[in-house]
Amino acid sequence: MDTEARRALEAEYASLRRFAAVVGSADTDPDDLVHDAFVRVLKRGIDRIDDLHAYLRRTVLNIAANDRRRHARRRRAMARTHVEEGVAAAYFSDAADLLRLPPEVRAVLWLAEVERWPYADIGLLLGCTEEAARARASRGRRQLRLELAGEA
Amino acid sequence: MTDELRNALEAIADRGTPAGASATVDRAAKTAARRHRHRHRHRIARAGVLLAAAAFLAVAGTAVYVKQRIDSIPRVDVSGSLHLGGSDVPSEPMNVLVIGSDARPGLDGERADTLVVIRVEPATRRVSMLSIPRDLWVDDAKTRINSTLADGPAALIDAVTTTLGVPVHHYVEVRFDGFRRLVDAVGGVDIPFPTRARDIVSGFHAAPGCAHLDGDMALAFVRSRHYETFAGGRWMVDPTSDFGRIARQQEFLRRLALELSDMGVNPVRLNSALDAAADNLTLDRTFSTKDLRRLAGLLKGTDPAAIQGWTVPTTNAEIGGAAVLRLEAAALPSVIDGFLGQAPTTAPALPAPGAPQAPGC
Repeated sequence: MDTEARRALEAEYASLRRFAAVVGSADTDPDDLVHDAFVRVLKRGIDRIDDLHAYLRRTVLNIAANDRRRHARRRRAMARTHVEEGVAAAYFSDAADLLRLPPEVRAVLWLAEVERWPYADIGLLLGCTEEAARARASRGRRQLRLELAGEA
Repeated sequence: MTDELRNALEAIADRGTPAGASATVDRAAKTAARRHRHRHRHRIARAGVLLAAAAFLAVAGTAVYVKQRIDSIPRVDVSGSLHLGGSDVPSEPMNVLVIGSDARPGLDGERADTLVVIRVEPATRRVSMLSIPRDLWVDDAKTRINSTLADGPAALIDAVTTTLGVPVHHYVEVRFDGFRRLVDAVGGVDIPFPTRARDIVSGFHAAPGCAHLDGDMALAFVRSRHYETFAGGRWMVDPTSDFGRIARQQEFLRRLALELSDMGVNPVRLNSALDAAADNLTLDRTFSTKDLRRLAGLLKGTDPAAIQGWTVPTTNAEIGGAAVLRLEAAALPSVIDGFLGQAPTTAPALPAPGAPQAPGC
């Protein structure tokens, strides 16, 4: 790996890890998601990627969403055999509620609320229109409000 | 709500202890390199024994007719590592190290993907071959035997000589690009299969009975590391992996030798076989046209079915986290004696899934 590629990936690390922590499930180490995304970049060749920032986020999100589907299957199997899984027990309640949302919705909320991305860019990242991204964000907020209200 | 939400998001974002930018990039670089190697290993034809020995036999068999072609084959000077002298006496046995190399245009470096020593004994007209597993660990070089080629053919010859105690008189290197062309040049090779067989990875498939393999299929057959046979209503994987492959390659080689000797003097076929071989060969500098001619004469009178195949005995081991094969020193002498024809030979009759004796071809 040349020093330029190394520098580019290292520069992405800090913010990508935070993003990975948000979209990844509670029992996934964010560093593992970042690692997997870096591997894909290196395998593909960093020169062949137009927008590294967006590519890395999209990759992390895809991996997280796939993981979640896999975990859901496992959880259903666990439920059938009556084994309790204490995912997210270590988080305070609204964080735990957030983690119950699908990764795509968490990604939208993070990018809109914290990173302050324009909805058009979020749409590009998710592969949907600006309006759809906006709709997902407000649906996420509403869902979260319901969760919080239900708890109270 | 928005502040609450942002706080919750931030709390999740900062969970755990970050591994750090450079550590994560390092780990990713290592993973990427490892996967790259794996992918290569699958992609690269391991046609070795075949390709190697077949191209070698093709050259040997046709040397008489086309001396000038052979003179155009690139030569490598490894005289320092070869056992010279003895093999120049026409009645003395000759050991030829034949390697299938993965060198290709656009691919850096070079490894010996298959290694076989072919022994010819003029006095008795006996021909035998000794397959060396490519993952055999070489203590002196602290690497697998196939990787010693990176330091040049002399290093590889030294590794074979010191590890196995077998003198090497000549050296032939074959790039597998020519293998397909060679099989096509002889008009394909017939192989009997008692059941259906396939390898999803290499793309090999054959119906039960006598299958006629063209260049493409032959390549897929000898490359196969995920070989399956259809028995009792389901597909069974060949558990012997590399050793099953070596056995199949040796069987294929016998049959290819048969095709080559049957080819006779058909000038068109002869020519394309020689082209395929000559384009993809490297010989040692001392391997004279006279030597080749002598060899051709000997091989011509040999029954391919009588060629005995041996495999260097090994055990699985792990060195530095890498899966390798360690020489099984206790079992080596009897294999070498058999290979050299110095023991009353009970032929090693490797069970060769997919290279079976039934039904006749």
